[in-house]
Amino acid sequence: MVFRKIFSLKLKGKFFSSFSGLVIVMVSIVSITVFFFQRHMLERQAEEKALSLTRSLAYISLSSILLNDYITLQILIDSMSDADDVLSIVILDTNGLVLASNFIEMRGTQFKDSLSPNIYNTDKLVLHKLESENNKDVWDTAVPIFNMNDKIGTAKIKYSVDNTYAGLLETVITIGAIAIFISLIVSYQLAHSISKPIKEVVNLADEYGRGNLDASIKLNRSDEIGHLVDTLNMLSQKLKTLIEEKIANENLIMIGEFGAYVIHDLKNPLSGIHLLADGLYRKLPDENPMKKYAYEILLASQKLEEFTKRTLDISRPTKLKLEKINLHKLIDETIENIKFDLVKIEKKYDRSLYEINGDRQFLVMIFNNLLNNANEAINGQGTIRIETKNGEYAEIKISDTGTGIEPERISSIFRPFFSMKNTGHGLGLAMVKKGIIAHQGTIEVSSELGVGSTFTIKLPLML
Amino acid sequence: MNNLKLICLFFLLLFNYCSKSSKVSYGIEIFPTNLDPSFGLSFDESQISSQIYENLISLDNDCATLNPRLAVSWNVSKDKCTYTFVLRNNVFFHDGTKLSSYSIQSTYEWLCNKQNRSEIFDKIKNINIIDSLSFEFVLYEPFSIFLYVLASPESFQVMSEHAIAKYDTLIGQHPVGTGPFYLNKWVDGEKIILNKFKKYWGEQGNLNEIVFKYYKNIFQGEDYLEKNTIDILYSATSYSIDRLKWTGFIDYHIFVPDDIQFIGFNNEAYPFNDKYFRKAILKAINIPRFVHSSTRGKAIVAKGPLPPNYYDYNDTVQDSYNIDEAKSILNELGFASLDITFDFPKIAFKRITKIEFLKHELNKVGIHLKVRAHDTWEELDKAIASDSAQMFYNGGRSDIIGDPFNFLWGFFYSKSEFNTLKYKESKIDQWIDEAIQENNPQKRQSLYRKIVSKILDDTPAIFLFHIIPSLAYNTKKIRILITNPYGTVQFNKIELN
Repeated sequence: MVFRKIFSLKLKGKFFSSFSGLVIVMVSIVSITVFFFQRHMLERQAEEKALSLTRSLAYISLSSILLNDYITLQILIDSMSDADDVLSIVILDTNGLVLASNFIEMRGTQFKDSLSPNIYNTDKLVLHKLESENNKDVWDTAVPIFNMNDKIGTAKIKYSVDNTYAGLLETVITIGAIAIFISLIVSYQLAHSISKPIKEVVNLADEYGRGNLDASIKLNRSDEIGHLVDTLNMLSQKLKTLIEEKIANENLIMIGEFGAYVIHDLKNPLSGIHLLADGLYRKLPDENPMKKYAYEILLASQKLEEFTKRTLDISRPTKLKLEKINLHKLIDETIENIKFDLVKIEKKYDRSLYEINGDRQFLVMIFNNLLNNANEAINGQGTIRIETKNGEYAEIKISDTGTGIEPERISSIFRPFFSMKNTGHGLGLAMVKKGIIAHQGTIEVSSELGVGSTFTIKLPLML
Repeated sequence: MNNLKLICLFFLLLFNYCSKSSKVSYGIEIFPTNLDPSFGLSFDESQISSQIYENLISLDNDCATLNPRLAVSWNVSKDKCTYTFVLRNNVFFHDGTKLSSYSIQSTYEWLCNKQNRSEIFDKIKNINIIDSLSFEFVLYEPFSIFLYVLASPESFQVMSEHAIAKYDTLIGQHPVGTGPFYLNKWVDGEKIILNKFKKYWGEQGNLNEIVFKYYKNIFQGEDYLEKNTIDILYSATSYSIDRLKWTGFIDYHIFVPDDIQFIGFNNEAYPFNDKYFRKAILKAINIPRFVHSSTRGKAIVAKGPLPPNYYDYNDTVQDSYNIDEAKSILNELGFASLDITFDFPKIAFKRITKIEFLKHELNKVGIHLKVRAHDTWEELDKAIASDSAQMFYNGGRSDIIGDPFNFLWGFFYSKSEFNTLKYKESKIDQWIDEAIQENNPQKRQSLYRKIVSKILDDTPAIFLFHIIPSLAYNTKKIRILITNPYGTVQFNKIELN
């Protein structure tokens, strides 16, 4: 039940209950261990102290016994018996008669206790722990008093350390309680510090779930949670871009499909108009004023046919005819076919980039479009720079020093029917992107108004 | 049959091993520089030399009877000046030579020519060789304790004439005697090993080897004894007497006290030249309490100047503690309050309580002690000789046990160099002179008693105690330890477990 309750708690509660539970268990184990070790040590110290006290008593008693000076002996015993841990002190003669004791009534009597049979016939120190006497641990010690070889008496002390035990227990409990209290505070702080950012991350995820991809949080942490938040923020931005692109692509597809449908239906009538206009134009005599109109109709129908053809190209699924292509040669040929007016073209080719796998027609179309756009952008004044780089991909950068693209338009330039020129259909860059995507490559654009634009293409070396 | 032979061989080897391993270690605090009997040997040195060398006569443990040793018989001439000895036959020195009268003559000449020779050589006029086993000592005058002196290890230990000739001044490192053990190994500063002399004329015993092992101080010696590094230790401290007994395997072998410790007075200086003043001080000090509290049973309370076990010892005692009488005498003499000096050597008064005790006791009768501690006995002797000391701690031992002559002559004879008390009493001098010429023991005893009674009456000193000399020994190893009255262990007679 307890576990169920714990598992049903929120993260902070779980952390707190786990930490504090662990700490309490640890503190308890340590306290109990310390208590038992200390108790064991105390026992040994008690033994040593009991023997040491009794030895000292025997040592000091010798002179008094030799002088029959029992008053000094009694004063000595009285001073020793003031200590709490000394239960009884007795000095016996060799016949077991009490010469002096802290119990006045015992003096002069025959001494008898559980240890007495053992102490009369030995020259050694006797130490015996009594099982219990008033529920106390008692050490009973006896030390013979020697005058050279002659045993002239026995010093005997009963010693207890129960008060010390009680003090030890109290100390251990107090220290344990303080340790647990401190641990609870620390556990709470720890649980709070761990669960708070997680909670914020969860809230952020909820926001994303609700479609608010602009949501973000900022945590000044360099740990894993900080890294997670940064990644989430980045992912949300990327997701937003992808969604926008996806919508654009879907639009494109829809338009393509719609266009293809419309244009397919327009194609045949347009061919008829074109043939009829051509026939009309040919049949009409040159002086006929209608011939001029027939020519206009012929030109318009030719333009429409061109438009329908390109639109169908975009909407048609792409099928590449792959071959090995020398990219630099292909770019150079493309440049030659374009009429550049007073344009300075700079090339910086990475000669290690030799051949790639690609569709020649598509690639010509791509570079043709980009170079034409660059040419038009600089409008006869400026430089076009073509740079290639070999690496994981074949990288081609085409830069111009033209007018540049406004930032608000830059994200739309690859959309179909988007054109910055008055004369275009807005299909050129859309075709470029289609061709690059067909080659599993990428194209990016960077631009600054009044400075120029750069198109960066990355194409895989092998397809 | 072969198996039986093998078993016999095994037991023979085992017996051989066991007999070879019978070894006893004796701790020594002063490592000997040499064992030449002509040097004044310390107790430890004497312990070693007395295993190697022997005397002509030995003293019985009753401290009275003289027994034959290298000499089997002796007689004294009527004029009490010529002592004729007959040597034991077939006695060999460790170098293989035989004991003869010439050995005695060589020893006499070797010892006699030394600067710090024993006083006995002042008494001997010459030595006459009668034959190879008979000789006689001729004295200048009767010397009643001559035979006791010959029994002392510090006077006349017989040396090999060949060894004297061979080693000369190096004899101390190459001792050759007739004793039951010979020197086998001498590792300077570490140990000296003696082994059983198989051609010894007397009882050889079971012990094959004695190791005299050096220890740095008595506390290390006690530690060695507790840890079985040594088996015998001379004079354990009073601090450790009980602790060693509590081990359960250490006993004390006690032998005859041969010293007297006393508080001396400058008997020539005022007010100590008055015997009643001296008696008042004697009565003011509770001597038994002083002795037992400071020595912890390691001493006997002195009754007079002589230790017990001396054949003249009797129950005559010095005046006992009586503070009222002490006050009364001092009042009569007009000493209600008096400052006197007390000189003592630090070495003898390690416990400050001793001094405090004396101060406390004498304060009670109006005498205030001004104590002056001296670093050595020599410094104390100088202070006493300079007359600056009024009251002082002193004591000494006799190198001749059995007869009290040394004690009485040494401390109380007016011309003795050891009479630090400056006690001069013509009757005492006369009785001592008579006693030294009196060969009749009873008559000599009577004279000694008169001397002691007179001394106690005059109270030239307060006699405190006699230290009980003892050897602590390991009872697991040694069953019975036997010594002579001088405390010399009879290693050839001890019984091992």
